[in-house]
Amino acid sequence: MSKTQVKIIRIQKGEIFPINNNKSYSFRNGSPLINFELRGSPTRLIDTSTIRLNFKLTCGSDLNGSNANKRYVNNFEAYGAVGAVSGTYGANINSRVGVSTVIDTLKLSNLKSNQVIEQIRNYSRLNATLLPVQNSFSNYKNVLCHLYNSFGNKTSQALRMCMPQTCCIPLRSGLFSQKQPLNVYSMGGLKIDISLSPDNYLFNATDYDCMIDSANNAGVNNATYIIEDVSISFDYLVLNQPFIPSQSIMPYACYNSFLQVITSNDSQSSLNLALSSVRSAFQNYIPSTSINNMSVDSLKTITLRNAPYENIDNAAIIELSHIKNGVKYPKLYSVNERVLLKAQPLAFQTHIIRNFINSITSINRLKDSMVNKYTMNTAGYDDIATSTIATNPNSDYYRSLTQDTPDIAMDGATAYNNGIGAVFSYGGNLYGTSVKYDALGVATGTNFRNSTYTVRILSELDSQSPNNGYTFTLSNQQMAVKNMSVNAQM
Amino acid sequence: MSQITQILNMRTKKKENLRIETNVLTPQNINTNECVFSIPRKGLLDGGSRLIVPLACSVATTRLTLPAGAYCVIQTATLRTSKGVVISQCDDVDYLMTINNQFVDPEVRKRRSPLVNGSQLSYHYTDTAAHLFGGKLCMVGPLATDIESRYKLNVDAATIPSSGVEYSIKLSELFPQLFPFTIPLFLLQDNLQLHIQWTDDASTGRRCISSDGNQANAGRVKVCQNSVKFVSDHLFFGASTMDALTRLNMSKEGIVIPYSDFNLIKNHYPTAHQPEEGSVEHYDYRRNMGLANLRLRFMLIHQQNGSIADSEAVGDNGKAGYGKYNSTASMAKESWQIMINNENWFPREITTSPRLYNELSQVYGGIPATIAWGAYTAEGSVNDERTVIQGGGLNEYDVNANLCAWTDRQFFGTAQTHNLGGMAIRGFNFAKSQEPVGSGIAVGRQPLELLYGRDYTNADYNNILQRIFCCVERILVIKGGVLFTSGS
Repeated sequence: MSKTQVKIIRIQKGEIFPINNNKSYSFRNGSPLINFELRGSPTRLIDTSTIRLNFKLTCGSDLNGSNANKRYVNNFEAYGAVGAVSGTYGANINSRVGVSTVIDTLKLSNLKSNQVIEQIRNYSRLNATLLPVQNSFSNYKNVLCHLYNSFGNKTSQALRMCMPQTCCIPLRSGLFSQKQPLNVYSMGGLKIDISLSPDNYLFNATDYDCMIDSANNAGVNNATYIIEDVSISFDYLVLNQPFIPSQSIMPYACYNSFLQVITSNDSQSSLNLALSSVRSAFQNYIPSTSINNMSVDSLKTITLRNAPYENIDNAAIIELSHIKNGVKYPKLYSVNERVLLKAQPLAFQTHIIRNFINSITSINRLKDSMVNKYTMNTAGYDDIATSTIATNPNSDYYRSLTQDTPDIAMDGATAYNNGIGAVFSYGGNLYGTSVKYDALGVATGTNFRNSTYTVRILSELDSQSPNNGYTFTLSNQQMAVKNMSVNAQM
Repeated sequence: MSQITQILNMRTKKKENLRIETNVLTPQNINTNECVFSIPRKGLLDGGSRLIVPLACSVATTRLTLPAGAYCVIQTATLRTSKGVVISQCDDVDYLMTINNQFVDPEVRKRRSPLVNGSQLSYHYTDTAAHLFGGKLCMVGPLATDIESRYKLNVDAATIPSSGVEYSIKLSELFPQLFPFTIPLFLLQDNLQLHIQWTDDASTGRRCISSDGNQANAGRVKVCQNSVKFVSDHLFFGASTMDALTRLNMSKEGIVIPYSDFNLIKNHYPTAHQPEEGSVEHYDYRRNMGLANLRLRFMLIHQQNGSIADSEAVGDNGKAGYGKYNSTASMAKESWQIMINNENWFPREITTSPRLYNELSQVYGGIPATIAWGAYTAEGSVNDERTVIQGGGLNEYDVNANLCAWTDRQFFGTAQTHNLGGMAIRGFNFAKSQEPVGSGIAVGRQPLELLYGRDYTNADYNNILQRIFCCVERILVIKGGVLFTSGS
C-alpha cells in the first residue's frame, strides 16, 4: 500500500481567548497578566505569520469609576474651547512603537512541561529599535498605523489616543517569525503569556504637544490604561491526514534581553549570554531616571545623557569596542569617534550608526528606515531665535508638530543653543550601538555558551548620571520535539 | 503543467536569452464607446504590453480623481480570440485597478504614478486651518489645495481632442491574475483581441471632479481617439523553448495554463431609515453570491456610498479627491462574516478596522495595503458617549472636527474632513498560497453567502453599492492552435 504524502489542503481561521478571562486587563488595577493556551490538532498546523493579538485599548483616568469622573486622555475638544470639563489629562505613547508598548514581557512555553521556548523581556524597547530602523515614515503613515497603531509622528499619535483604539498587532517573537508552520499538537501545546507594562512606562504624560492649553492637565500619576476584548487570531493550515512526527528538530531565531547600567565615562559591561550561536547584539540607551517615569517617554532610544536630562547634554560615545573573552571581536579595533566629536559635538556618528543599522538589517538591502535628519540630531540648525523656535513655522521643530515630518530629535521643551543655531532634543533620536557576528548575512553565529560578551564604552558621561543600556541579542536556537514535549536548546 | 508553468511564467522562468519585438498597434476600431486592438500572432505576449491613452480635459477646472487617475476611462477590459473565446474579462475594471493601486508602495505612488497612470494618492500630515492640532491627514501635500500644474491635463474643448497627456496602462494591470503568464500567440489559429469599453464621459465624478468643489464646473475628460495605441511586447525564446511549446501544442493534453480571473458581483444596499441624532440603527444583510463549483482565491470589495448611480453627480465624500472611487467605511461599526459550504469562515464576525486591514493584507500574500488610518476607518474620529460628555455640543456618532483624523483644510475647494474613511477597501483571502491553481477554496453546491452588518447614523444612512471582485481559478488550454477556457 502506498503511503500518501502529507499536504496542506486549505486554510481555516482560528481564534483563542485568554484562559484567565477578565472583563479588562490593567497594570494599575492588578490584572497585568494575560495567558493563552494553544492545544493544536494533529490535522492542523499554524501559519505563524498570521498570528495577531487583538484587543481594545482605552487610555484615560478613572476608567473603572463612575461615568461622571471617567475621562479619555488628550481630548482635543476639551482644550480651551470647553474648559469647563475638568479632569482631562494629557498623555501620549511612543509614536514609533505604538500600542505594542503595552507588552512588557512575551513568554512562549510548552503547555505540557512548562519548558520556556522563548522569553522576551523589555519587548517594547526591542520594538523601539526594530520597528523604526526597518520602516520608513511612509510605512508608518500607511501600514504601521494599522499594524501597531503607531503613526511615526507624536501629534498624530496623540490625536489617536483621544479615543479607545481597537488593535490587531503582530507578535514579534523569533518563533513566530519562522517561515515554516508550527505543529503545535506535536509540541504538546503552546502557552503564550503576556505581561503588561506599567502605566508609568507606557505614558509620557507631560508631552508638550498634548498640553496645548492650560485647560489640560499633565497626566502624571493620573493617566492609566485598560485593555479589553482580548484574543489571538491566526490561520490554521489544514492537512489531508494527521501528522504527528515522533521527534523533530525545529531551528528558530530568538531574541534575548539583558540590562546594564552605565555611569562611568569608561564603562565596561560584561554579560554571560549562555547562547551557542549569537548572530548579532545591539544596545539602546535611556537615562535610568526616564524609565517608569510618566514625565518622560520611557521608549526613547537616545544617546547617553548627563543629567539634567531635559537638556541636550549629549554624553557622546567617543570609543566603542565589542569584546569576546577579553579580546576585541569580530572587529579587532575600537570604533573611534573622537575626531568627529572635536569637529562638531552633534555630528552624525556614521561609523557607529552604520554598524547599528547593519546588525538589525543588512544595510545593503535596507529599503525603508526612519534614520534621517529628524531622528539623528542633525535637524534643528535653523537660524531661528531660540525663544521663538517652538512657534516659528520655519523651524524644523514646528514642522515636526504640524507638518509632514517624523518626530524631531528633541527631548524637552527647553531650547538650547549650540553656537550654530537653536537645537531641541525631544526623544526623536534613533540611536544605538551594536555588533554583528553574522557578517555574511547567512544566519551564522558566534558561540557565547562559555564566553563572556563585553561592551566597552568611552563616553562623555560625567560619572554621576546613570543610563540604562538594554542589550538585545538575536541568536540561533532550536527546539527538539519528542513525545509531545519540547526541549529548547540555546 | 509544471513544465508549462516554468516556461510561461515570467516569475519562475529560468534565465534564457530572448528577443523582444515591440509593436505599436493602432485600434482596429475606436469610438466614444469602445476600442478594439487585434494583436498579431507572433511570439509570446508579455504582460508588460501596454495601452497608451492620451487624455485631455474640456475646462481648466477639470481634474482626474486622485486614486484612479487615467484608469477612470476604462469600464470593461476583455481579452478574447477573434472567434469569441474569452480568456479574461472584467467589468468596472477601473475600480479593480484603483483597489490594486492601494497595494503599491506609497513612495512609488507618490513619485511615479502621477506620470505613468495619473493617480496621485499620497497621504501627508498637517494641521487644521486654525493652525491647531497637528498630525491630521491631508491629500497630496501639507497646505496644498490643488495638484501641481505639471500633473494637470491640457484643455482641449474639441469633441475629439487632438492632443492630450499620455498615460500608460499595462496588460498586467487590466488582467492582473492572467499575467505573469505569457500567452503563446504564435501557436494560435485565431488572432487575439483586446477589447476596451470606455466609461461614460459625463461629469459625474467617475472620470473627473472639479478643482473648485462645484461639480458643475468639472467639465469632461476625453480620450484623444486619434492617438490611442497598444504597445505589444512579443517574446521570442531560443529554439528549444519554442519547439517544446510547439510539441506540447500538438500533444494530446495540449498546453495547460492555470490562471485566475475576476468575477464581479454587485450588492446594493438601499438607503436606510435616517436614525435620530445621537442614535444608531444596525442592519444585517445576507447576500447570496453564487460562485458554486468554483475555486475562490480571494475577494476584494469596494463599497461606494451615496451617489452610486452612474448618472448621479458625486457627493461631498468624493469632491476632495476620491471622486466616485470613494469606498466609505461606516461611521460607527461594520460586521463581516462569510459563509462557505454552510460553514462560517471566521470563528466570529470581524468588526474592527485593524482586523479588517489584517485580512486585506493577506490577500496578496502579505503585501500590505498602503492606506492611511483615517482613509481606512472612521474609528477615533466620531464621538462616542464619553467624548460627547468631555467635548459637549455634539452628539454621539457625529464626526468631531477636532478629533477627526483629517484636516479641515480644503482640497479641490472641499474640506478634507469629507475624506474620512473614504478608502475603506475590504478584502478576504481564502487561498493557502499564491499559486494560481489549486490554492483556493472549493465552493461546493451551496452558494457562498456574505453576511454584512452596518450601523447607520444620522449623517451616514446612504445607499451603498458593493463591488465584490472575486478571484476564481481557471484553466486555459491551447491544443492544436485552438484555445479553450474553463469556468466561463
